[in-house]
Amino acid sequence: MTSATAPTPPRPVTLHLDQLEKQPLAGEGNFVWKIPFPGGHEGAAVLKVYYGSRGWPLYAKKTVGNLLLTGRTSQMPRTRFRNEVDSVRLWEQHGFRCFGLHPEVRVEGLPEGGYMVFDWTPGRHFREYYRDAAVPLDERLATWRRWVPEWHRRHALAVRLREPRLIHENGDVKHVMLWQGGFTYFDFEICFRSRNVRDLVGREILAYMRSVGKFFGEELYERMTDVLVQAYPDKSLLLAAWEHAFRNDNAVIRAARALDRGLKPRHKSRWSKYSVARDIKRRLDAASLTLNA
Amino acid sequence: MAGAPATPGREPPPDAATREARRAVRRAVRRAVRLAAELERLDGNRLWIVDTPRGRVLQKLYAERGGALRCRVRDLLARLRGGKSGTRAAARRATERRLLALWREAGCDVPRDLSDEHPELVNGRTLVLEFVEGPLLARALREAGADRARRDGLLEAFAATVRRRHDLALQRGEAGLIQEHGGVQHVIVTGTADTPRLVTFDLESAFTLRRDLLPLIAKELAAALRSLARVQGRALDESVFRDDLRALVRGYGDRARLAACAAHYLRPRGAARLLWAVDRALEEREERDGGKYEVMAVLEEVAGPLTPSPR
Repeated sequence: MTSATAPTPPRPVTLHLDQLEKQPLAGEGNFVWKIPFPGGHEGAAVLKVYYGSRGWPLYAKKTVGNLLLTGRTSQMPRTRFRNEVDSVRLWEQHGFRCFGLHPEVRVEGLPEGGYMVFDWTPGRHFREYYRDAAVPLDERLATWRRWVPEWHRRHALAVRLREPRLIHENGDVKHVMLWQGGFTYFDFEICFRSRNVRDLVGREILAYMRSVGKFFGEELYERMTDVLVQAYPDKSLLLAAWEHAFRNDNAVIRAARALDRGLKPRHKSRWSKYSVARDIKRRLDAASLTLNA
Repeated sequence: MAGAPATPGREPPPDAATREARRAVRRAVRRAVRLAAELERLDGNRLWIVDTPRGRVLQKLYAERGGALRCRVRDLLARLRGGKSGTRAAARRATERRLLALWREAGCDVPRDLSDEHPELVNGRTLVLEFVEGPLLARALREAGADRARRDGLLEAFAATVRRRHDLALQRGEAGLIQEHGGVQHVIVTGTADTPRLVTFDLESAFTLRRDLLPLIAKELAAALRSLARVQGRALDESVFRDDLRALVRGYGDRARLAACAAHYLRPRGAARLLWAVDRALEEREERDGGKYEVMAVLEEVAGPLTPSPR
């Protein structure tokens, strides 16, 4: 007779902040360090401290903006910590790989509920990978073609479950990593709160594609947008990107967006969300049989 | 070469090539403006081919036609006038889903509704349909050109499927089996050359329940014949069209019904006469070859006039 055994929880580990050899990593607002960690990949881990370099007035100001205007969760350190941990668990539960968590690690010298130790993941950020001319273009596009259906699967799940935490609030090519042949996601401190998840999907698609344009340039952007429209299975969901910019269900938001487009000069730039939304719509129209009979 | 004399102090009028170049630039600018405007609107349906692990399917997105006001007014008028299903996107989606099931149950060849098998592609605005590979009947006829045998084969097969469906509609008193938006541009030719399979699509609009279905059949026939006339382009070659209609009459088989439909369409009775007169006057004003009254008149000639019942 066999019986399923629950995985043994990792033994608690205590580290001392003042004794750690800390190597600062990129991070805005938070303190993010690479630290030695026996048993981790390459003997290292990442310590992220949510009580970062920003002062309380800035946290408070951003929190008010997030809660009252932009429909996001709070900027306060503990809330960001909770969101990140919950989101990582949710994403992993649905098969999307994120940086592994080490809640068993306690760091003396840091406030409880204000930090987390993550797996050190020595992969390649999309941002670097796609700019690397040493990788053949066809290979880069094949990776994108492989990633797009996974991207769609998450969007479809988010819409079906009406789960805004499955939307990458800070989603762009900086926060996806290619590792061990798969994809790894990170940076989930802030989430959207709206239940109009379809609109959030549209917003996320625009954010990713804008970053593709900004970081990789016009030529690669055009190719990657072509692949996006071909490989994204649910074209009507992809159209949500255009609808987010031009056809919001809410008449007030629609009017505000029209004003926004007309008044802000930055929205006339090549990589504005409106410009990217038009690019996606143009391709979807071109792919439609009804418009090309 | 004679030309307008140049007025002193004025530039001479541009030559033909310059005028044509200017017209081309104006056309290009107008097109660019129109395309730019279209990118900010979603007008009408979209139909995309999607490759799934279970094969290729079509995802159909039902979108509103025209702006917010226009689509509502059109729907209101359609409802006030009666006789047809709603014209809003949601109503068209519901109608198509209902008719696909109805037609399929009646043995008519339509794309399968695969929405239940592909929940990942379905939402309140979309349906997933079978992808049927093949040219439209309109294109197949265009490609057949002067190949009379090929044209006859296609048209006879088409007419036979339409006849079978009309018989069922009359037997069951089911207006949904009469295609509201029929024509050779809404039929896909697939199968082999000897046994073509004709798959009808575009069922998003339907006639609603009526006691007398013959006028609806007449409308479907008029639309189908008009679309057939348009296959030839602007200049209608009447002899080819007559031969096409002969093939259709042979395939349909029931000459009396065709003649009755033509007679009803060309000489309606009762209150419909006023609307008919206005509609016909408008069509004649357009002076276009292949109008629906014109094609129905040819059908009447080809099918033979309706002989009064011996009673």
